[in-house]
Amino acid sequence: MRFILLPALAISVAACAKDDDTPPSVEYLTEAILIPSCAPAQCHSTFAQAEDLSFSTIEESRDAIIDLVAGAVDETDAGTPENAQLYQVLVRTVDRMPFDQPLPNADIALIREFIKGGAQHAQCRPSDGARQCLGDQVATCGDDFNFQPPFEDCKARIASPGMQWRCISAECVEIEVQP
Amino acid sequence: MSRALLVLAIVLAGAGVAHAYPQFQLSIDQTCTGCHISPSGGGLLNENGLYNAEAISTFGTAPEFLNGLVETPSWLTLGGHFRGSTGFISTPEKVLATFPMQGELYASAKLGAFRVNVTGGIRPTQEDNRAATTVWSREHYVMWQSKPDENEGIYVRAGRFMPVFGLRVAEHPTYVRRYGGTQLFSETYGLSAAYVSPKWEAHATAFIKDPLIDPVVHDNGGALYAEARLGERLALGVEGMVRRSDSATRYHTGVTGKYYVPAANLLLQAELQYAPQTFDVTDLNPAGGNPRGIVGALLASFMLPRGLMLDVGLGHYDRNYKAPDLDRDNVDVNLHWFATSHLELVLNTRYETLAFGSGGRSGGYALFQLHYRL
Repeated sequence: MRFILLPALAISVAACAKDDDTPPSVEYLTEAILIPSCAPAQCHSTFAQAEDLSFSTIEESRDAIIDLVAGAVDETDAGTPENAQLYQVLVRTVDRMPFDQPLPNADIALIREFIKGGAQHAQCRPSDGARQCLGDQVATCGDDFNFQPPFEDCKARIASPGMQWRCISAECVEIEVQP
Repeated sequence: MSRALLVLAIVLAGAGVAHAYPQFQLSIDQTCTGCHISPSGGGLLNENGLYNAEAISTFGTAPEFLNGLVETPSWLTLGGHFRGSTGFISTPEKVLATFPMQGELYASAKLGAFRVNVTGGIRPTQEDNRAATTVWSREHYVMWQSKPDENEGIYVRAGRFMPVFGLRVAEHPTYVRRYGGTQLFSETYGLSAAYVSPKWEAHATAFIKDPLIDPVVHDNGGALYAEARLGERLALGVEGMVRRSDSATRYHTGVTGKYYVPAANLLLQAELQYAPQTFDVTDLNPAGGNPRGIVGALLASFMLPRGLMLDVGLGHYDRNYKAPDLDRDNVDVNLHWFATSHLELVLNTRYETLAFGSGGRSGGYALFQLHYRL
């Protein structure tokens, strides 16, 4: 009887959790889709790092996505999935990825939505360039900005009136706030 | 095409790292330790395992290490596995491929109630670090056994090994392995305690992310597996695993079952897991997430005459059954021919479909595998 109760208890606990709303965040895409599908041992895992890419951890995945969406995300935080290598490799017919088994269309659509939304939190590295990267966070003049992970090492004070900082395609850009 | 072949070789290399053949449990012996030194099965065979390797094969031959040409002292057991494969793959891009799968040597030294087991061999190399990542030791652990001269009792292991979980089939593309917590090369450092007897067995493993090399899996966690054998033909098991990564927790809870039908020389096996994930709610992932996965396998193994064994398997994986069209299903048909005590030829075939055709493109493969046990 104990053999039966153990999994039944675990199942009932997990079933009480809230419904899945499939948020297209780096964390969700990595853990739910990229690790199981793209990071088996021989492929884009930390272990093998095929093509110098790994999706095995959030940080490695973020690093890979930054390269794979470069040029496809613009300063309005809108992305063009068709220009992103991350999307192209999933839908092309030759050398499609994952090579051993395609992703479900629904997962490809989720990744497309993520890129179209500007690939939030996977647009640049804090270490890129002299100017610090803010991710998708916006600061206005006079703010002492408290950076959130993974940009916690960045420190900045926005000094220019009427300006905001946005992170655009691997570098931080100071943009003018429209009246 | 050449790049595709290279990628494919990378994808499938190591595709058969030697786990046990659970098809032989109940059909040949009650426990994995009936034939293997390790309490989880797989790897080196014990004396009874060598006998069975000879008995099930078509042509027999001496089953010992190197056909008995090299005699080892009683405290030392040596072995190895070599596998390669060739065939046609359509996923759905069509390619012909030939690739190595496994080249590993095993050594087990027995010192009273203790054993030191080491598995070493070639591995998929790490891009831009090939020189330092050509060979490795996949498993190495110290084991204490309460009854060192028997195949039952208490086993305690410390070192690097695969957590004991599930059916433990050899074919790592099987969904219950790939998505079920025991994917290829997910061995890591841990501590395990087990009790094995003909009537029942239980295994508890605590594991950590490998701190020494760049690993496949970056999780810390624990796994439980218990199996009761109700008579000589039926075994029922329960399992639970918790894996914690930097941003989410994965759960695997499930049941296993095996039933042997002597009249048909048929072993039926099944495993069903409920595998939800719970994401941390953070500033970067404010919505969290809670996909509820299901993974299962049903496998029928027919023990045919003349050293043949036919496996017909069904697999199902849905990373979130609350969302539509994410499920994938497959049919595996594998024909094994145990030609000699050491040589096995396998035809591995698979047809896979996504949401029965409505979730994406279907695919499959047919691969001939050559497997030699030293």
